[in-house]
Amino acid sequence: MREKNDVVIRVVDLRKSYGDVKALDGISFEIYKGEIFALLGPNGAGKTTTMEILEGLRKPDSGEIYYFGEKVKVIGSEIKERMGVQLQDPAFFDQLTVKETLEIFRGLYKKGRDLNELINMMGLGEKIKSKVKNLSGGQLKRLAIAVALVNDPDIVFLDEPTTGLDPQARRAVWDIISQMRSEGKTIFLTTHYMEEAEKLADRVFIIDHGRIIAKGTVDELIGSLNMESVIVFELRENSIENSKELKSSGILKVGENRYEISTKNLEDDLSRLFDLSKSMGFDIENLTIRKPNLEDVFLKLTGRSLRD
Amino acid sequence: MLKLAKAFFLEVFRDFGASFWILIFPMILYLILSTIFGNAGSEDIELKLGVVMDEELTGMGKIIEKVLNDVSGENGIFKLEKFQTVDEALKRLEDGELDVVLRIPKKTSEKLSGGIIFGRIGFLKSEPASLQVYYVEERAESRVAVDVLSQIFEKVNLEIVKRSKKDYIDFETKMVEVKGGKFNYNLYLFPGVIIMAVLSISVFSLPIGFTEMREKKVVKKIYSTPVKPLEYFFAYILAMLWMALMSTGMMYAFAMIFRKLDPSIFKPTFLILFLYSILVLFSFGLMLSSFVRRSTTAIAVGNVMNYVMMFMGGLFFPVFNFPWSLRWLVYIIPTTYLAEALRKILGQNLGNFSWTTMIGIPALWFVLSLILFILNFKKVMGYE
Repeated sequence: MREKNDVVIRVVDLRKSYGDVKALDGISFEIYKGEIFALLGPNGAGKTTTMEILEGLRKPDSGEIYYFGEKVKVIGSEIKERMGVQLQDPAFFDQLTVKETLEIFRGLYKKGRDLNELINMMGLGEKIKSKVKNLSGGQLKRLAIAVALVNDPDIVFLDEPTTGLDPQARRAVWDIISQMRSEGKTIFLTTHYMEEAEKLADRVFIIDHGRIIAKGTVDELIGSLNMESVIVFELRENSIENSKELKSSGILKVGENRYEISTKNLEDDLSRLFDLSKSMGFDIENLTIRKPNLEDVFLKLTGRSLRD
Repeated sequence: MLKLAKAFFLEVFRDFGASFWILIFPMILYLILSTIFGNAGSEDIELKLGVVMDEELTGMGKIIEKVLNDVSGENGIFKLEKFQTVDEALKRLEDGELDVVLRIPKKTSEKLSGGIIFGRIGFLKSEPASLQVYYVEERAESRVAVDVLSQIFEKVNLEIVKRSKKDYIDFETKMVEVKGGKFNYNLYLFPGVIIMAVLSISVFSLPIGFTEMREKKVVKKIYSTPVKPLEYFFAYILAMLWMALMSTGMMYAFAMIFRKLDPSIFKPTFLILFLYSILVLFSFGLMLSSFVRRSTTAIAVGNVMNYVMMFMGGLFFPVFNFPWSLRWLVYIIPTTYLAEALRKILGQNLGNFSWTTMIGIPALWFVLSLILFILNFKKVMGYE
């Protein structure tokens, strides 16, 4: 059971518009001490706007923000001393080395952590003398996370920390985030990778068009789908994609020649699918069965894919 | 703030392009210009003036004779040679043996005297005395010579006007704005080059730096730390000031070692005026920063401003003999006055400005630029 003083950030009815576009349309949530809180949504859903408001980089049009139990109007230096921020696009001084970058950002805070320890934790030991401009995308992301930790913050903001990284580099960053959790940090993570949220997050809020459309733990969200499995398969014949039989059988087109059936009774639905292929005369290819995931939650709620 | 200033400084200092234009290029330019026009050393140059008199000067015309004697005496800037015919003098000018030719036509004395007498009566006017000056546009010495000569005769003209008034003040020729009597191009050039170095920072590094940091979102990263916008601003200005002082220091060392310049460049008034120039030009750069959104625009605007301020401000060559279609620009921009003020301390100024003008006009620019920048502070600093 969470206690009131465990709340690190509380947001009430936050709104922000850019001209006629409502980036945030009244979102509310709480982030608890020591948890990884993930805001999951497609590009343009309002994730970064939410995060940047909480980082003090943007001003909301309306709404309330509470930090460590106190209502704040401006995110001032006292709060910033306690937060670490990794921006979506890492931006540093190109001509400085990794070590200089860490030293300079460490110097902007009153307190901080041992830089050598941080360099080892991020696996940047071999790169400390390299200039920022010579780092790869993965190394740059790791440097950005290292910089977010130089002040030993209580809360860490990670804005799409693995976007643009190859799978190996992505897994390396996930390990670092897990390590941060084991150190007791509170982490606010935005991502549009459902695997990332599933693997890391204690709680996930799904955002779309500036609104929270679902919230809970990963299990709760997936459980809300009330399905056991998802049957995934491919069809070559485009001519049948709009057929009544396909639609009435609960078969959903999710990509080019790619279809899915969400099922509570796997055997029955598989059997029905093969019967349908015989009667309609189409061939099923690359059939797989998988567990439902957050992507399915988003698909069910919006009718769109997270990557759309 | 110092930590951040160090980061900004290293970012610019380690960038070859920026370092080259701010630190290296002023020295190269000084070397080239002083080698070509400065007699390859620190010796003073003497401008060669050919005079053709179509009449014997009498009465008020004697003023011209007195002026010519003053400027070509032992400490004068000109070496004077008289000619019987203008063709003979022009031939020597074309051959490069003269820098400028002054022709005093017939009736000059009569027109000068008439001007004064009719001026006193008040309602009658006489035709002004017209002196003809010939020079070669392509030759720097020739341009310098005609510029000096035009300044001298503007002064003479002023004295003649004074004589036509009732409150007559005794006439004394003191045209020699070039103190010490001799024009030294190396010394003349020095203030221009150090101003150019500061100009590179103010019209390029400042606007480009601010726009790039917004574009690359470095500024966002900075604001996610406890650093406030004003601290960020002062840190960047401090870093650019270090660059400016470093560049100037290198120029001083270079000029002293390789050109053995007059120690007057170390005068406290010169140094104070130079710091004032930095203030004015930095303020100008901040104003430019207020009007540009993208770094590509900043580069374009910076280039235009840099060339205008350099060449129309007379940083390398005199500009007071430009045609009026261009000369109005000379009198508007601050670099003209800053360079002239610095040169006045070195005794190398060619303009005829008062101290009030030389300090006042740049001060107006400073205030105006600063106001415009303050009004756009949020936009330039990139925060909500």
